[in-house]
Amino acid sequence: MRILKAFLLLVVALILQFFFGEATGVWISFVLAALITLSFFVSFVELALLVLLAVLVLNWQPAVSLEIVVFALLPIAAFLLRGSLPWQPWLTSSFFIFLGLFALYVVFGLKTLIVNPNTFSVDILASLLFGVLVFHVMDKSAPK
Amino acid sequence: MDNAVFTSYNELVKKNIWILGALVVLAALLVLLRPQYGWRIRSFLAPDFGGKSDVGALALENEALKVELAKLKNIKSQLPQRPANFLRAVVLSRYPMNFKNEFLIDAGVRDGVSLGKAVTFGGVLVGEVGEVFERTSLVRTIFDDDFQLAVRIGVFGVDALFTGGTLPKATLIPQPARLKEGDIVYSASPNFPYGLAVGEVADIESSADQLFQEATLNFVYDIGGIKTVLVSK
Repeated sequence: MRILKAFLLLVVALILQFFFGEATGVWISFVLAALITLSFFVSFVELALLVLLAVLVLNWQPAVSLEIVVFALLPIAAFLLRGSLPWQPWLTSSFFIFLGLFALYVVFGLKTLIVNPNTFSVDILASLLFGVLVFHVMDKSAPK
Repeated sequence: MDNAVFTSYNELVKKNIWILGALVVLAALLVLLRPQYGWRIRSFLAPDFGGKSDVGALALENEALKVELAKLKNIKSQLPQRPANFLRAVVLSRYPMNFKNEFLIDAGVRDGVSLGKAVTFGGVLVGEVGEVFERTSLVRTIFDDDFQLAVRIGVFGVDALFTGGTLPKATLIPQPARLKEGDIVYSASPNFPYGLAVGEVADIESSADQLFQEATLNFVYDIGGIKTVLVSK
């Protein structure tokens, strides 16, 4: 079942994000990459559920922060715009991942972007790779 | 055949739309009203890196640091008795992106925590209270890009400015000052208990404008592995 596969991929993304973040101190946006990619395969309600579950686990404080709100809106925006570009879907998904991450860094982590460009580069590259992998896994079960 | 499967899946989704909708509402309520369930799921998913933050190993290293401090008469005479007004707290969750370096602890207003207080681990300063809620508080660690602290270094108490980030440094060190690897860096901020150890000098170099010296630091703990901290009241 597609939603179950999407849920399992989200869990994998969460585990990977925590693993790398806790081990290295560099947080890779696996979850965001997974959600943006999954927005190409699931319905709006399913996506909303996946986004809320991700927010529930990722949210680090009792209040809802602006970062989490923007984080949650990015996959929704990807869902609404998924057919807007005349490219291969995997390329569109990758572009949205890049755009979403870049927007997050510009709005919330401009200092990190300037002072630690390597951190941004590692985050972007790993997230894009993971997004492509998620796309491939979901695409295998999608009808042709 | 594939189209039939897709069509039947869509029909399945439509039939279960109310169940999905209810799950969405439930998830939203959990996010807004019971975020602690998310932290429990996170601690289940996240690995436990004991590493450098193993209590026994850290206690030994802390003892070694204390012995070094005791040898330096100038610092020892200036160290006050460590006040008993420290509250123990458990780390509940960490900021999961690269824009900040902070974590949430399970002590808040009702426990007597207030803004700007020092947070320590094994006697070493690891951060300050950045935001206080009723039962929890956010701690901004010394590895946050915006963290700054007045410090002193070594036997002669050389004044410097500690700046946080991925590679924290002691900056604005006067050029004539003589520092060496292993010199203790400790807090000299009026907002924190005086003499809290921050780290050790690892490497010394001139600043980009050649007007000052800068020192990179070694730390005896792994910030990602810290599970409990002490918060000054």
